[in-house]
Amino acid sequence: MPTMNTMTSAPAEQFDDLDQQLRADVMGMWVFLATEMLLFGSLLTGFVIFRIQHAAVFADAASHLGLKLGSINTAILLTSGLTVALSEQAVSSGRRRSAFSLLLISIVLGVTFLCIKFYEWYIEYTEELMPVLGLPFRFKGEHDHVAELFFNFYYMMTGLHAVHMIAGLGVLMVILMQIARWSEPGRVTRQARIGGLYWHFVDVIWVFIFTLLYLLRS
Amino acid sequence: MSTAAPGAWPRDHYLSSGWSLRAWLLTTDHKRIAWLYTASITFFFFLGGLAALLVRLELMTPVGDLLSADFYNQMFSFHGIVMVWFFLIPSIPATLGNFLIPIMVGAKDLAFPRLNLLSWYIYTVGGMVVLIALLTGGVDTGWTFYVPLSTLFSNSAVVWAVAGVFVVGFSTILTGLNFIVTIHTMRTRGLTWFRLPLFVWANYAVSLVMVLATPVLAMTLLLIAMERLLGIGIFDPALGGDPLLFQHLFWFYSHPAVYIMILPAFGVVSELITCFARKPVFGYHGMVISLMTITVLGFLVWGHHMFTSGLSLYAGIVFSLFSFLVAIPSAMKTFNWTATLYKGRITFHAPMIYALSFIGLFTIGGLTGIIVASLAADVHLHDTYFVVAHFHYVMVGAAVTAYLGGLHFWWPKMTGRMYPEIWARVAAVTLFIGFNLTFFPQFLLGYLGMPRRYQTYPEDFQILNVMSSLGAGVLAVGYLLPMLYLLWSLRWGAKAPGNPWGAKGLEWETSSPPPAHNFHQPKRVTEPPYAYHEYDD
Amino acid sequence: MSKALLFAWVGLLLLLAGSVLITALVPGPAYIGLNIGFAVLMAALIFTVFMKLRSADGLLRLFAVGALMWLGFFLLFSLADFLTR
Repeated sequence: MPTMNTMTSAPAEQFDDLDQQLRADVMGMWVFLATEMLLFGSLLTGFVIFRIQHAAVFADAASHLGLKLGSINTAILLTSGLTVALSEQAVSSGRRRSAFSLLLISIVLGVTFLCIKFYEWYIEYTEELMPVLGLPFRFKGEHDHVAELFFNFYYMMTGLHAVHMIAGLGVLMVILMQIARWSEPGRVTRQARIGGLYWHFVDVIWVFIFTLLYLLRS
Repeated sequence: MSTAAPGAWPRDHYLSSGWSLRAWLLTTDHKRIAWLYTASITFFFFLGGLAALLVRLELMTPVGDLLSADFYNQMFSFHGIVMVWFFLIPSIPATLGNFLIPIMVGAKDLAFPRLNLLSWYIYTVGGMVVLIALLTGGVDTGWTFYVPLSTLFSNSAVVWAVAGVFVVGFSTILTGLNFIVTIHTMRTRGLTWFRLPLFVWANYAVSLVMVLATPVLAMTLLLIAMERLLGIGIFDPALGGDPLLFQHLFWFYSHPAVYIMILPAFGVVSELITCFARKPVFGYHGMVISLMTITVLGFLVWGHHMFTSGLSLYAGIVFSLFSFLVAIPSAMKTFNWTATLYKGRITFHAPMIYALSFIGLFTIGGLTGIIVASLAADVHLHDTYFVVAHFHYVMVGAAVTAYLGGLHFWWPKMTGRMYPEIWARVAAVTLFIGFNLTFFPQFLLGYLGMPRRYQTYPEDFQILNVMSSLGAGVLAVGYLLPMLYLLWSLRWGAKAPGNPWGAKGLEWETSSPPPAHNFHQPKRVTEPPYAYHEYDD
Repeated sequence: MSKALLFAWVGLLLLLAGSVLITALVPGPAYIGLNIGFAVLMAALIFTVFMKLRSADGLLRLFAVGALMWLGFFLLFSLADFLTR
């Protein structure tokens, strides 16, 4: 959200000073994250309601998800959170090289997460657990219709999360280019701070998706 | 008060920097963006009004003769979708709010000017997509898109309409975000929270609702689209899903959305009443507290739309109780407006006539809201014309009247021209008469049991329906008149001075029209809002 | 400062391992609360350390808490319907 075409030291024209601008930018991002929280939150709430209503079937369906891959993916994402935070710190203290490499590592980790996620979906596709676009759905258990509801939620949540990951990767790449160019350190610091907030928030969302969908299997 | 003292325009103002298409479509000036919005929502208002007119014409007779049943369903759906999302929700915040909030807080612009322009483009794209829905077969689900009708049974252009509303939601979110950050971080020196005009407070409250509610709508619509496009059915009862979850999600947004429409109107009316009564607002702090109370309570009442849908009785009782509670802050506001009038030196300029109409219409709309909030009465009144009349009194009678009042009040500031006062008074009175003639009969129709959304009705209802349709004609005149004379005044109206009403507030301390960055010198605020008493001394 | 980040990261991984182990080793509905508690702790760590909510001004904390509270309203009231039907 920072405004383009500003000089290194001068704030954008609507602001009095850089402090005010940073404050506005960070606050804007937090307000945006509040909307994201309600976007994902309403879906998670719907899931929680049905999880309570159809407890046994949902638990059974959850045990068909890959716990190992999901756990590895969560660890990868949490680690990318660390590298993004470290990179932010490096940017603000002017350590350009380490900022660059840390952010590059974050992007690689993010891409790895997505690759594993796609692989998981592929496995579920081969096991005929993908009730999307009229694909066959064969669930080995009782109440296969209710299990289908579980998988509907699963694809909706992980899909929307993946879309947010892709957007987040785009943001990180923009910041990476800014670090490479390093023409306006003040602006890069602001962008890294705001882009980082978004990335961390997408991690938080994943923690809840992972816990509610993968871990609650009994 | 000097109303028509000839003004002199400053040499440099925000309109003098150019009239090329580029200067409008690529502008980041909040004042120009406000005009982009004004033009767009006026277009959609008349489009939605046309649909309403067709509906009312069809209802002149008890049998379906003018429109086919399908086309009738499409027309009331289109009317609802367009009026709710493309007129009412952006109406005051995106036009008057966009223009005035930075000026009222003494800032040069909103915190994120380019985001502001982006939100107008998003609005425009959303509008185009909804028009595609109309052209590719129309939508017959009503504006509420209830499942399973919209997901399993309606074979119309639902996905287009849903996509358009989904898109326009983001423009709402961005506007709200921009206002919140601006009001928090960009107030000028001395402008403490309790010196802010109530218009700013109202827009702050509405921004909170926009930011907290709209994402839930986005998710709801996304789920409908996903079910239709990919077969991911979350609300499908055949899968153990529950259509009532849809209603919970939808009304968690759509009830607060009603407050998105009415809260800014509260702000406008507070400004008008205090100015034309020449008195400070009675109970300023109470007005602020009631605004914020309505904001919070407004999120806790959504279940009252579901009393007859199979909501649990206990939940119904809780939702009914909270719905009653909303009456308290609303009544507080009404009492405070009337108390502001008490012993005021009232002048009946057109904005004041609109403001007084607002109080009357809002009171009727609000009181009938209490009737439908009670569980037992709602079983009889749900989905009848009583409900239609109730929400039109609030959303049109109150909100649109306040919008027009505000438009007249700030017209000299926005354009640098005075509107013709006589015509404006005629229009304001016409509006009040036409509105009541249209919608009061609908209370009676609903009470007698006429359901909404039907093309035909028993012959006994015809007299009241004809009254309502004739009223719609009068109402149309009340809306067309301002359209004509306001356009006329752009060229031939008298030039406006900086403060034609002798009003208080930072927006009246700059020239009409304001300079590009609103003020030549940074402002410092030293007095409480609405210090009108000095005029009396 | 970067020490805090590293500690937070280690804490996150430990919490993750704990949560996964609970699911894998001691299945049973009794532990659902524990899983959710671990998730809340992980989110709290990310919010306070990675997203600097610890050192941010009170207003931002209010926004974060406010959004959560609104989600709470939604969950509470819609559950009130589903559970008492």
